Amino acid sequence: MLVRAGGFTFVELLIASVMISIMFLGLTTHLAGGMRVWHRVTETSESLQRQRMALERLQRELAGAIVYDRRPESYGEQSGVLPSLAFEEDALRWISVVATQARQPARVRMLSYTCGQREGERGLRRTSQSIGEARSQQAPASQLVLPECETLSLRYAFLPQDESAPLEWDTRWPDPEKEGLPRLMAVSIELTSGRRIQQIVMIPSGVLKQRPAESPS
Amino acid sequence: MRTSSAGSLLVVTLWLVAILSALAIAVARYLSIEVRVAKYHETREQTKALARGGVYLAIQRLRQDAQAEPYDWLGDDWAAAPKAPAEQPGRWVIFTDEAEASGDAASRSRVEIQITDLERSINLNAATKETLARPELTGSAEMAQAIIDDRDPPDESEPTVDDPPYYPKNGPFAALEELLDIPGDADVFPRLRQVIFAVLDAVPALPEVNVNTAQRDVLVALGADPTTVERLLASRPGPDSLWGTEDDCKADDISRIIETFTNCAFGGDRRPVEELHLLNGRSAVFAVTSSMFRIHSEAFMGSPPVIHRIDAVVKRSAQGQDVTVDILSWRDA
Repeated sequence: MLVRAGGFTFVELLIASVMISIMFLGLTTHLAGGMRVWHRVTETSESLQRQRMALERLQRELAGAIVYDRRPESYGEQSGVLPSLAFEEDALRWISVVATQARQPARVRMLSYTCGQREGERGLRRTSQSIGEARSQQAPASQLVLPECETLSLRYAFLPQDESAPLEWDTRWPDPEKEGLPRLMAVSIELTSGRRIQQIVMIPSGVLKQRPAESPS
Repeated sequence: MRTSSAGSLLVVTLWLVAILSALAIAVARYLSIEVRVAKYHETREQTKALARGGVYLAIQRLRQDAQAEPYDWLGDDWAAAPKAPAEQPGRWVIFTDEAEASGDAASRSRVEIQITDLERSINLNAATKETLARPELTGSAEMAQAIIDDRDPPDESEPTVDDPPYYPKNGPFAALEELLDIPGDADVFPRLRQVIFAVLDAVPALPEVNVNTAQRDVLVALGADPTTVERLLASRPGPDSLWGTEDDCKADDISRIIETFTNCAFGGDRRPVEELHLLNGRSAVFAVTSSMFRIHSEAFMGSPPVIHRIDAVVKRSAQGQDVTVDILSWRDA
């Protein structure tokens, strides 16, 4: 090609800019796909991070569970007594010793976890209140810990009749106030994406007992 | 413009290379943070497992100890040779990389276990108002009264607080942290944690304090003479301050407490021991065994170390050679 030192003609510049535009167009469509994947990966990893943090928190708070009071008359719905404990199919309420502030002694709190709709928002909600607040039967403020939660399902381990058989699992743990907390529970959370996360959680101070006969399986 | 097109190609190429390098560096940095986060989580899980293992190891040690001898003292395996004069049990350190034992001890992966019996302290659910008000405990008659009001069944003298409403538990304490919800000085809590314990199922039945492990402040708070207590504590590891030697002083049977300490701690002088034992009739009965233990397990891994701590309280019950250990409480930190 014969190049004039004086500069480029208008046509040459036009051709060059068209070529550069085509090149950039190709590059951006290619990169856009990459960016979409990148976004998805980041979102997924953030969601996984949230799931892990929520489960870890639940696990830590369940590990600190204590039998606070064994007298059945200490629980009920009137003010002055504590709301009953719950180890149900879809809800948890128990008393635990948890750290509320860094470098401060842990406090005794009544905690609860449920997954459901509230104020137009779905998700796994956690509440935490002091024993005094719980006794005055105030509704605690809730905190959304996992917006992706669709349903929470819980199962509790029981000792089998035959000692060599595997553990039996049921959706309800009866009488946690009097008979103590469950030792093992399977926590399963169904996410809005359809995925399901599962984890076996241990309460070290809990007990393993046999399933009461009248309980539905 | 007087440049040649050959020169401009070089500039364009250089620009492209620079942009691509910047992109590559950004991606690499992002990924390396992700890798570090993943590595940290892995180490943290391992540290947790290590700390948990420490608790179970301690439980095993307690089980073996119950099979070995019918009394508990600070020369036992679980106490890991406390520093004289016998205030706190020692720490038992296990390195996980025994094979490649290199580097200084502070940076190696390890688990540190400390087992402390609860009978060295005062049972909050059995303590009297007088004991609680002692300077070694709350140091305040008001707080002692508030604790009693919260713990014991209501009586007429109990003040009623309506604004804001305050509801007493009127039942035994399940955790020492419950004291933080009682009106009183929160600053005394760290001290109380050393000398008091609260366990729901520890029936406030006597005997209360293990004479072989009880702390100085506990014995003084129960009304013992401080000089007598100092001599008793000093006699535990004996004049040589070493555990497991001939001169150690420990009561191995509840019926021989006076006799044992008269001989090995007070040089044949019965009076101080009898005075100490008189506490019997007032607020404390001495035992020679401990059944509840606090296990503190602390795992360190990596550098800078990831640390996981577990505080567990266990109850040991022995019937002959059959020893069961139940976990009463557990706290991850």
